[in-house]
Amino acid sequence: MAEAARKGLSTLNTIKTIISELKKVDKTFTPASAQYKFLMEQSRADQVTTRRYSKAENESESVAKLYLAYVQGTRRLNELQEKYKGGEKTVEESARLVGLKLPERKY
Amino acid sequence: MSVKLGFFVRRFVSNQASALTKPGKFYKEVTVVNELDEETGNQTHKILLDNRILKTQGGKVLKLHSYPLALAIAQEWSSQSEYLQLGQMRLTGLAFTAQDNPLEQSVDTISQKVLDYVDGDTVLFFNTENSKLHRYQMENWAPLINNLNSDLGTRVRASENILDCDVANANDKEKIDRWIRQHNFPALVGLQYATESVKSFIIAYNAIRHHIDTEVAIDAATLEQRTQAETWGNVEWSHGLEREELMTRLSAACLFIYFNSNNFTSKRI
Repeated sequence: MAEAARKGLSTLNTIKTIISELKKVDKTFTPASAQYKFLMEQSRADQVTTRRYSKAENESESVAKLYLAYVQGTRRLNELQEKYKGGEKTVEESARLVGLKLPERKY
Repeated sequence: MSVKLGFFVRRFVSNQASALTKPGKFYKEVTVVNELDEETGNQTHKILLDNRILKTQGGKVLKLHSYPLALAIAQEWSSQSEYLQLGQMRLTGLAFTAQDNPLEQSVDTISQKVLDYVDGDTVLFFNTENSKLHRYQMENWAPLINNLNSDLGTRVRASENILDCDVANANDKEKIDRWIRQHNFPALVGLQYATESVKSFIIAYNAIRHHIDTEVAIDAATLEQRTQAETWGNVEWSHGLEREELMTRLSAACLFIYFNSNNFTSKRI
């Protein structure tokens, strides 16, 4: 029983983290969103039903974690891509990199 | 002046034609519409971008049978900022692929492709040359093989010789094939995607059956690389990027399989 209660609690925490992650990436995400409502419903339903009906004992917790991993992974991937997005350097920039200067040009 | 103008024009034109330009976000609100299919009595769900219905690349209206999946796909679209990152919307991509089936795959071809992975599965080949790596492989990979064997009653074994070709015997493969074929077509698309992402059927299997979470699965899939990085250092722009990408691929595939295999909507009799 205590074990089951702990699991319910950790599902709840995962759902809370999902909500805070979604708020970070989606400015239109509010308690009025269908996604928000669904998540809240799940967290409530989880306390009663899943322990009885789910196939794997940790099913609801695992699914919540999968979704969290997906949302969090996508955000981090975007951040890393933004941080390291290359773009070629211009001739001037490459020259400056090795301490050289291009001759002045007059157009 | 003319040089500058030429530069500007070239730049503008090349941007227009480039395959690298991303489409802008052309909608504000994303909603899920539920419809009752008169013939089967099942609910189908569609995605609305403002007032346009989301269509697949094949030009058909995207129809989903799982409400949570529809919500998650809608969330992908509403999480986009200025430009659409279509390549990162993996659930949308999987749903499109499952519906359009662009490679004209069948249950047979997909199960064969997935089954082929077992013969060369990442976690079945241990390296004896590096004692640290070998220890990690015993710790991280052996439990995954055990999970598979105890669930399906197979006797798949790890090998220390990469030329070994009987890590799974015919009987084991038949049992695994039977498990694979329990899935419906969309779930199979997800299973193939998961397997190919982590280059291992066994890791994908463990993640799908909720034995391990995504983090542990990716650790197992990149075990050798991480062991090397312990010695030589981690390069964020390469290793970090790859890790997050694998995380999103595997978790999206597992979710896709789960939602297509567990239908919560009640059927009308």
